[in-house]
Amino acid sequence: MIRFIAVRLLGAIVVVWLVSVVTFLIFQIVPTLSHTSPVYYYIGKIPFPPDSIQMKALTHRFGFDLPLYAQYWHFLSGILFGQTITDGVSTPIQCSAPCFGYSFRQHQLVGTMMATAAPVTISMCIGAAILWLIGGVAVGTFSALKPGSLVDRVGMTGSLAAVSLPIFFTGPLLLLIFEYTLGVLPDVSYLPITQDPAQWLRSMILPWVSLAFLFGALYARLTRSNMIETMGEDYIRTARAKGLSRPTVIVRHGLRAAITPIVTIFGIDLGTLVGSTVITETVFNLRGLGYLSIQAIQQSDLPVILGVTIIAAVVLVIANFIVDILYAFIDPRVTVY
Amino acid sequence: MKIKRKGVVLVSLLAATAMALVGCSSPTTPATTSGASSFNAAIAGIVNPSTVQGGTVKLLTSTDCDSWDPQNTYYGWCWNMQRLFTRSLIGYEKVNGSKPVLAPDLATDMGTHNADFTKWTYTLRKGLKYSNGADITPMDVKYGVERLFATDIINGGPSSYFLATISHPADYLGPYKSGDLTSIVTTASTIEFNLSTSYSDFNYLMAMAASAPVPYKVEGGTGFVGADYGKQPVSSGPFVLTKYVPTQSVTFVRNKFWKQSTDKIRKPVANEIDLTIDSDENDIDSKLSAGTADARADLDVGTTLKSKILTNPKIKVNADNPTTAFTRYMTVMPSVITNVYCRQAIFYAANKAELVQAFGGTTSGVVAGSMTPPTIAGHSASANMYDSGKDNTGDIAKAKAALVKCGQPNGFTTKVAYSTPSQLAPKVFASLQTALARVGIKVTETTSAASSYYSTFIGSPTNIVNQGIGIALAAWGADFPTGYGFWNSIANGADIVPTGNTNYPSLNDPVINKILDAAPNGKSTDADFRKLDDQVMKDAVYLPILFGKSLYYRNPRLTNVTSDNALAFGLYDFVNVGTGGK
Amino acid sequence: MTTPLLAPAFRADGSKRPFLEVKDLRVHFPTADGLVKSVDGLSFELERGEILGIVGESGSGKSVTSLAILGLHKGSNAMVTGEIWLDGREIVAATEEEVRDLRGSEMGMIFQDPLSSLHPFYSVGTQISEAYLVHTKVSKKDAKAEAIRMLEKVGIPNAPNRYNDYPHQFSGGMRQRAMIAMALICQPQLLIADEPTTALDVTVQAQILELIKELHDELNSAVILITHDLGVVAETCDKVLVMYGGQCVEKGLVDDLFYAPEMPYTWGLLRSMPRMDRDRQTRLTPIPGSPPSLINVPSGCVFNTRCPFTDRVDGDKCRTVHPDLQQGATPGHEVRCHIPTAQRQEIWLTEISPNL
Repeated sequence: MIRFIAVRLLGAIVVVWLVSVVTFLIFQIVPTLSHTSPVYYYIGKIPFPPDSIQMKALTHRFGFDLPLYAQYWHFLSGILFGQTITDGVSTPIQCSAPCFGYSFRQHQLVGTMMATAAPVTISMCIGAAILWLIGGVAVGTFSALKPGSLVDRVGMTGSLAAVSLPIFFTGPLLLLIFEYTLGVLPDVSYLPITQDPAQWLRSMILPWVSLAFLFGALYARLTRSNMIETMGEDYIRTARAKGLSRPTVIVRHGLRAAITPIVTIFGIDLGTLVGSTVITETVFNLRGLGYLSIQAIQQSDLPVILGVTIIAAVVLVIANFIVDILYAFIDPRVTVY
Repeated sequence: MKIKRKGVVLVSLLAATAMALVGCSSPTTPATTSGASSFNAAIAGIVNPSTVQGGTVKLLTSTDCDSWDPQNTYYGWCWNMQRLFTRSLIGYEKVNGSKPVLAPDLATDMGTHNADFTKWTYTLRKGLKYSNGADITPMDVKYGVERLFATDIINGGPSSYFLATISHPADYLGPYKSGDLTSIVTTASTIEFNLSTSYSDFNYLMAMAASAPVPYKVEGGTGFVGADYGKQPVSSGPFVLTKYVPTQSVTFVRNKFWKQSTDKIRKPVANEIDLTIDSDENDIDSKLSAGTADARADLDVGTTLKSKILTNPKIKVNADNPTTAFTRYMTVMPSVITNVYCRQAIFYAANKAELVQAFGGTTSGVVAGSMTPPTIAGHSASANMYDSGKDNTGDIAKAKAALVKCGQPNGFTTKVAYSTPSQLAPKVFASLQTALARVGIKVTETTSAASSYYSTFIGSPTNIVNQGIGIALAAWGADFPTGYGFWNSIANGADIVPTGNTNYPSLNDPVINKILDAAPNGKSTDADFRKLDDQVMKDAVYLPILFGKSLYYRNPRLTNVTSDNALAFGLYDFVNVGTGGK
Repeated sequence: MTTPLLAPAFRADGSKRPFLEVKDLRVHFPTADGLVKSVDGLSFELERGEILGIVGESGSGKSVTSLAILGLHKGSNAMVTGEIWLDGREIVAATEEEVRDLRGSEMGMIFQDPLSSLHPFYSVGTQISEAYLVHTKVSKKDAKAEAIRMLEKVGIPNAPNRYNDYPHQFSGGMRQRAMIAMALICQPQLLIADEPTTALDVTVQAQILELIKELHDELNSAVILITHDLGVVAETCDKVLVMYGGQCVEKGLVDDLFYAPEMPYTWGLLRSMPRMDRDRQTRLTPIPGSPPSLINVPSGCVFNTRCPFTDRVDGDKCRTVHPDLQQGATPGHEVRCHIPTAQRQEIWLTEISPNL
């Protein structure tokens, strides 16, 4: 098992490294394709003439005068070992590992910006994930137990509808109903759970519900088809032949097997979601990673874009890694080498 | 080279107001007398004048300033906030109305200059002190300006104006690396700037926050030097920035070392000004409506409050919709559409009324007949060379006649460029496409990311020809309200560069060049700029669409409220605002 | 009086019911193509200590019958009619909950493919002790001890360690042993083994059969051994029931069936069985044709489409009249065939037996 984890971990590290190379190159090369110095993206305005001392000073300041590999190593070593950001005059900024650089536009460490934004996104994603997993699996299971029944038809029609409705439809709809019409959840802004759990919950309910609605529908359909297949398996017949009660057969033997592939998809979905919450955060006015990235893109704030991209990739890779490991635990047939 | 950072800010400002669907025709003749609250009363007048001291003004903003370092900020609203705590040699005595007025601030008078405007000398007032009790010296003013040259450390401000005017060695990189400039000469009480070029508008540069004094070498104290100065800037103005939590709040209290007797242009009454950063637009609107906040410091009101203002007369009396020194226009490229009559056909056929709608409606802009916006010399409300009809929907007959003269009676085909992402531009393009189709001019769109649009897309004359860009969307607001400040970067034939060109149509008209070249020598009059504006219109390369307007809301309790049209697109001039002592 | 005069262990006529009595069992599945009559009018009896072999080709209704006895069709769309009496309790009409109580404890089942019949995510041991726990009020620890004891009993070496192994870590034979351990852990009085040796190699087959026999002797339970392998039946069973097309076509004691079979289908089965005790004279002769459709069961005798002896019967009776199950040459030997008993015996002796 240890060897299995080690191998997967090594694979994950290689993937993350490749992602870092690719994103770094994209963001370093793309500006030069449009004949714009990357300096532009760091200071946010059309820089001084290329041959001016000001431009040279800025190019040197940001290290763009180094060969590409050296720039990459600087970037990578910052992530691995941290770095000190200094212009030789201002107080040097200690950016401890993992250092994702500094936004010269926002005057903040990218890491700090992401650390502020991450809890919002994580709260949103985890809460929504729990909701959709429970809801989706429950609906799917009940539908699967009596395929073609009223419960099944209502569940599946509902989930077909839900899966076809994008967040930018359900989100504003929920806002309209609960915030503006009923006033049940009056204009709530996010507060950390540590600060005000009730407010945190209020600000999260609608995003959770709308995300859960979308994803839950998918999981309901998936659970249903897996469950129908599983309930036809020989081992279910064995379980019944042993005299196990119906709930035990359904949950312990049926659901246990049916849910296994869902765990895989769940992990990856969760990872993807964390890295792609732009729309949801925009709709619900949450200042998470998605908002941070869209803002950074609008402002062409290169270090922030780079940081968020890598974090999103890392989250996805970690999610995959955890799923792999988890899968080995939940499905003993997976060969662990 | 000029930088349009303020323009960039404004684009988002207008985008915010443009989201509202409710349009409204507003009277554009503001009251000029001071007194009670009414709609637009603060544009030229002062609402609720009062000398009652004390109280706390509560301001909201959706974002933090780019920097609180006077040399490192370029947002219009931040320049407006700098008025609270930084002074410079020259300042704006009058910021409202159609003609901002400069006056000596730290200096005793408007300075003296030599005949060709290359040497400017100022004398500092006596008894000027920083918030830390230290004296403000000419050396500090010099040091502040020198900081603008340290572009590898401080690069957010309007450095380029100073780099282009003040004499300096080619390798001068600011006081940190290159020491002091010899071209700025100080004595105990005077400061003399030696310029590399004539510059009659130099007082406007001296009125920028970028010219504010910074304690020589000490700056804000240990740990607050260089890029860190913005975290704890030393105050020369009536307020001092005491508590700054980045991205959350800024607190200003009265600077006890500031004396009213040394300041002729500010009359502060409030004890404290709190600025809270609230990224939730709806939240800002509801706090303004509820009166728990006094005004918004950065942008137009949000869509919720906008619709309330426009539908409820009782709320509307507390709002202002000033026209600002900002023009939205289309560049019609003579390098692509070479025949002037073909360009004129576009001018006549454009439906400006529709275009204003596309840009957010009548609260976001008013139809422009020529390029020069109000507050800039040469502006004329009646100038409208290419009359597009009474309702500004276009003059089809004249457009067709122009096409005949051009030899293209059935119209022609060209491309329209705009930058992405943009909520407005696609609508604007669609409107233009429909309008031009009426006379047979067919247009297709071509876009570029905002990051490269101005630098290498329409900022490159070669690219314009290669891509066949006939029309390009653009916007421009000058950094200081003079004819030269507005026109030089967009119309001077001498300033055409291969990339990052701001004279997009590569306009090189001797009549125009002559006026612009004479301006730094103080030889161009307001009448000359009126003539310049007409000449630009004759060349038919800039098709003006609208002068930008903004919608602001002031808490009825606020006293001494007036618009800052000089620095901040009509935002309220917060330095003098009070709360009646509460 | 509403209570029955007779205990359920007795029939209405007062005779004592056998341990297991299946009476006119019909299991029909409605499908889009029509009604599938998987089992159609099956009756048999079995006493404790007896081993009944049910033989027949695939699709003849053997497994469906066993599932009906366990009541496993409940909750599906199968239509089950008739009566199944187990130790005085009727199963067909009983509720799922009532039957559930009997499963595992009164009747245990060994399924044919142990790999797919064991849950892949639970250890073998867990699955065995689970069966024990559901019917006995003991601690998990005791259940585990019992499961290990059972594993040892069915011949799993190093049982305490293998307890935690997963099915995929067991060999085919061991898996089947584990299945047996699971089926027998509650000492059921009826054991149904559905093709318990099909997937196994020959030496293991013998071991498994031996094991079933041993355990049967020990528990004195009734065993139903479902198979298509007549050799297995010959070695193991007391009684045999031959199924064809969902019906019983011949049943009797093992000796009757092997030494005096009367039904042409049984003859066919015997001819297709390899014999080790005689020299092989001819190639094995498979029964020509294919099993009948269970949706459109042939009129007359179900075997008529493949029966080489239909010309021995007058007229077209084989194709028009459905033969009843009637007593053959000896009591207890029942045959479903239109050919008169004497003639059947003659055909067996003169035409079939010499060629085996």
